[in-house]
Amino acid sequence: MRRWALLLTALAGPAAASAGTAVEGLQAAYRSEGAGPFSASRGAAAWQRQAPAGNGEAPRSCATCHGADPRSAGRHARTGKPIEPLAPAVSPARLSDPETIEKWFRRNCEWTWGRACTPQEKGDFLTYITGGSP
Amino acid sequence: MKRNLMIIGSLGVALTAAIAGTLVNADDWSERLGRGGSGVGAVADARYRALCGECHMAYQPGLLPAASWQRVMDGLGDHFGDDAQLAPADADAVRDYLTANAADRVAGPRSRGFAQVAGSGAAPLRVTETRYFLGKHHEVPVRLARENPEVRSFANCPACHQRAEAGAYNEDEVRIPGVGRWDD
Repeated sequence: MRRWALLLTALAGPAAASAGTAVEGLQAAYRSEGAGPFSASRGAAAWQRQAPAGNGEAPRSCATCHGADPRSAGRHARTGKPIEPLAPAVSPARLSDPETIEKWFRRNCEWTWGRACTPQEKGDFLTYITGGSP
Repeated sequence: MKRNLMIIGSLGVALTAAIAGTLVNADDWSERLGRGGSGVGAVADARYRALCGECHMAYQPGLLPAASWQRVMDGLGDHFGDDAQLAPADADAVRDYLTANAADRVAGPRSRGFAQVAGSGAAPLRVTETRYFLGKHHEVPVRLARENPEVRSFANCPACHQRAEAGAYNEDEVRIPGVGRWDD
């Protein structure tokens, strides 16, 4: 009986933990930089916050490419390529690799807001995207 | 005897079906056999697909001549308005793959088309600026492509070419979102 429980944990463990582990690790790093606690409602508000594009194009927010919320599918504003939902609850492979998460924060904060996101903002986004209650 | 006839009969049916399939789908078959046909060679490099296929389709290297890929790789800091710089080792590997398999380095009628550069000799930066692409798409109105919310850009090949990711650009397989088949 106990063996079965162990086996089930082993099978379910890594898949269930992938997004969680990466996000927890990054949020711990952000805390060590002075950020936190993290809030899903701040993340949700920031998701919609628009910034002027500065080149005559329409103002940009996360929602421009990722859709109304992290559970929705999106579309790249310029190329039209479909974008899978960011929420691991919908797309289990999402947020499973800390380097990939940091890479896209780097690129997309710059593209959307014209600056890097702060550790606080990144932590809030991760809490919001992983479905923390707003 | 009856059994033999049945076997011969079924062989005949199978053979006829195979021949008919080949005739109908000649393009498709030559694509699968890697002879170019209606397509270009599919992307075979996993690193390139992963690094360059996130914001847009990982364009097959046979869609642009080597000189164009060199220009693209030289300008990743301002990649059509976006910063798409790669780590040096990744950039080198991607550059090698793209140039080694560029339109002017591989066989196939489509790649021969894409290998032709404009008279000025300047290598185009975009597939959509090649003479070959323009010749194939000049009848497609912008409202069906750039102004179509499901397409947005002529560079969004898979929006209409159902098997673009596999390098297949057969006109029969075009489905324009909101419109359907394309028949020029």
